[in-house]
Amino acid sequence: MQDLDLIGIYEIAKLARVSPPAVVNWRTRFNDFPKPIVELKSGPVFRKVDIQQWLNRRKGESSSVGNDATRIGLRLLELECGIASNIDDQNSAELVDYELSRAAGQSARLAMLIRGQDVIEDEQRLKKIAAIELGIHPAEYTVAKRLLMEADLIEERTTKSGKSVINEKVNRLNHADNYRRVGELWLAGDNKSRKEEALIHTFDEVVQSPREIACVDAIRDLNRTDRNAVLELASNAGILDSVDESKRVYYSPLLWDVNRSKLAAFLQIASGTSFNEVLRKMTRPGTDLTRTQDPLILQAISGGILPSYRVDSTGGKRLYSFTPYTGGMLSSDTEKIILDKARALVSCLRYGSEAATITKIRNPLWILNALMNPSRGHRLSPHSELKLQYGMLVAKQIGRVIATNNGRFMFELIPTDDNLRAGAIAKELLSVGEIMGAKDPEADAALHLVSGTIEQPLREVKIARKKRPARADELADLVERLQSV
Amino acid sequence: MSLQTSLNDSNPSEPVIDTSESDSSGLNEQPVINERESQASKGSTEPSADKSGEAKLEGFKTRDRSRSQESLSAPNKSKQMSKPDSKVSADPRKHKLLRDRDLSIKLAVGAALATSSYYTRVNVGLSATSSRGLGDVTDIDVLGLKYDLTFNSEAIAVSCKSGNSKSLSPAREIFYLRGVLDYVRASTGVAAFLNKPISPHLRDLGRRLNVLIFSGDEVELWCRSLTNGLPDPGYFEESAFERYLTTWENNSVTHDLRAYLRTDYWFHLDFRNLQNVIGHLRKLSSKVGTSCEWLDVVVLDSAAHLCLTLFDLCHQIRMMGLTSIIETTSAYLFGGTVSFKARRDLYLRVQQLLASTGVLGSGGPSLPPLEPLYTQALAELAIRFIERPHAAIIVPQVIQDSIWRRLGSQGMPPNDNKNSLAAEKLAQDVLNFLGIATGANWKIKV
Repeated sequence: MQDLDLIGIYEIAKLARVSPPAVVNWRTRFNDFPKPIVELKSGPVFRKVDIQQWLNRRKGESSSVGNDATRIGLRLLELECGIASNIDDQNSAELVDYELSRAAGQSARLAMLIRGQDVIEDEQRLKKIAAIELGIHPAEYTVAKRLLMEADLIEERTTKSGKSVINEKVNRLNHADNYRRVGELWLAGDNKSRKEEALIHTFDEVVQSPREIACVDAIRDLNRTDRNAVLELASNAGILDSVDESKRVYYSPLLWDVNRSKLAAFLQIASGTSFNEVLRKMTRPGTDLTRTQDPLILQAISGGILPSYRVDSTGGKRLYSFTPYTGGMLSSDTEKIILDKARALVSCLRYGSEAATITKIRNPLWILNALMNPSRGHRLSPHSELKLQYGMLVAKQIGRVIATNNGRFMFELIPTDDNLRAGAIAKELLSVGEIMGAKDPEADAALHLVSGTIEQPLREVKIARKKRPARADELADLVERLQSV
Repeated sequence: MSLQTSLNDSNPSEPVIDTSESDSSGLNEQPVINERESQASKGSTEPSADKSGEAKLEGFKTRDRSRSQESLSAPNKSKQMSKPDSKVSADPRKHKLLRDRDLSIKLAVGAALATSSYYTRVNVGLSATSSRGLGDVTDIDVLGLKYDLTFNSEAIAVSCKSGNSKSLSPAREIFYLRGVLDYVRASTGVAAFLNKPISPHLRDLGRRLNVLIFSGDEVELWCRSLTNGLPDPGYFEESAFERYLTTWENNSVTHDLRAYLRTDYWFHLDFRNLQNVIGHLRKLSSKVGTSCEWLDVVVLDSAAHLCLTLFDLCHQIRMMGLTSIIETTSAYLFGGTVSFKARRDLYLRVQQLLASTGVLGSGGPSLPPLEPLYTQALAELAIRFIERPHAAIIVPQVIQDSIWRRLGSQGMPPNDNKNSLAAEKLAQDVLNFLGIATGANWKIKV
């Protein structure tokens, strides 16, 4: 075979360090995947050189992801949120090296704050709100404002009566565009320190899936001292942390809702690449993984790495899974419950639209809108399949099933604050997956949104302080210090 | 629907409706008043003119002169209408439209409606002059449009007749106006007969058809009631109106756009206008690179027209729900969900066919997208309008005010209340959107 330079699925999988089913999946997913020279009963046969070229091209594409302006914009925002939430000393000397990144992050946060305002008449008031809500110092505000003007997200205008106002131009529908503009500014900036470049690019890689830090090019080139300083800052800000005490593999605790020890155990059996493949298969919130045979996926589901929801009704059992990525929104216990409810809602609605046999939902969003509508009493029209299909929602106290006289059932959302918020998040999960996901090439970025729906344009960018148990080495260090005192 | 049509529609550089064979006159060559109107106007110069009617109007000056005597300190003073002046109409230096004998009353009514916050157009042609062969239909002398918070329009159409010949039949005018009102979904119609005696049964007829019938004095009183207590912004002054007309006409590059806005726009008054106006502006942008005084007026006027279609889109989005805003916007551009889906299916089939034959492939050519590239920006603009309906519904008026200021009128006094500031900003958003959609670098400020 080697002489003829021909290979099959298994050899490609070995070459790419993925599982054979992943290669089969590539053939259907990527139009540019090389065509086989012949299809035998045992499987297709490819020219090795074609496959090698394709893999190289694809590798090139994925490595250029780090330069994607939208994602960089998001990382800047998340870094700033992490620093603002988790680092008490905002004037620490260590933060001086990240000045441009912080200014860009602050401008992204400011953009989210003013989104939907149209005209800002009283800038002084905005300055105060930014100081209170986002912790942006007035001097920092000026820099952030300048960046927003450069990114064309705001403009100054004088009214006919001579009053100076600010026009807000922050995109309300295509959030990715706002991040892209901020990201582009940062990428174009030529006064970035090496440390901040390393931090942002590393963060961007690790946020996709846990990575061995030694394999991350962005940080590998730094000297040991700088590398440790970057990782320490990232750890303090809560955006990066090691999976285990060996500090070999890192993940993002701020954006991943996953148990650290479970993740460490999972990564013992799954290589970084294969875990990446698993995550790639999660094409949308609530991916149907009922029929998957991939042992790694099954392990990830059973190990709690991929939050999954089982729905059972006339169409049989279905399993809907989500990535552990939370977008940084939900990390407190209360909010975890809300996210759990939102995911349950999405799963039930997906079932209704994909698996239900009696009454199929045409558009899950319409059903969700009906449930959220107080003028309809938060109720759905009765049908016979509801009782089973929405059973999980009853168990989670999201709603109740009411029997009608003719043997049908109505589902009614219990309109508590938590449930309504869960509904709003579910709406966003569905709309991001179904509207932006289908139309926006930057849909991946849309999944990383930290703020809101169009009904709540002013919702503050909140990333709650991530609580994590102290590691053994930190405890030992603390004990040592106490003893020395 | 043929593939060619489908792809033409998706090609944002071309207007949806071909106006190449359109009425080449637009605002200049084609007589604006139709045949019936011409007869009526001719009638006004006939010797049998109602002397008493003329006597009522005898004291009126031309609007320009009256304006020079008026000031903002006397805001209650209504616009005065000049009597039909044979000298004015005979002056060859004047613009053809200014030789229209009903013009002074049209301008006076237009000014009153515009001052009382209607978006106002004078001599609105209801004609499609595309290659489909539809000819001239009719026109509306003055059309005032206002929108409520759900983006439903409230229109008022005014027919102005200063003639008094026997051929001018008020009853026929009233019936004609009723048809026009239905066509433009106007709630109120006004038929003004300056020099024609109005018998009681005609008023009854008007009441039954929901058309107000006014004589010369009554028109003036009505205009005064519309502007009562409001400052005079100087809209629709004859000199400014003439400048407006010449601005459009002195530049041959605006010919197609002018013809479209003059006729097809009002005839269709639906989704087609969005792509068509943008297509015409894109053509214009390829010819005129940088902003200049006349271009500002042309673009602002087009933007004001565009706002009306945008309101229609906003109304659709509100009905379909904000969550499906992108889908609704895409569907609207193609005339509704059904036709959009049909075109999308056709597009996908063509794409598959071309891919299977090897014409399209990886790294090779690809079909242009079905939806115009500005769809996302349009949805963004729509959401801004929907979220601030109080401000959005006055955007056309804000733009119109900006046009009149550029033409030398005083304009509305500055107002820094929240709605006005937001409306100015939204008007600027419309212009920014036009910049995105046409690729022009005009940078016009409201």
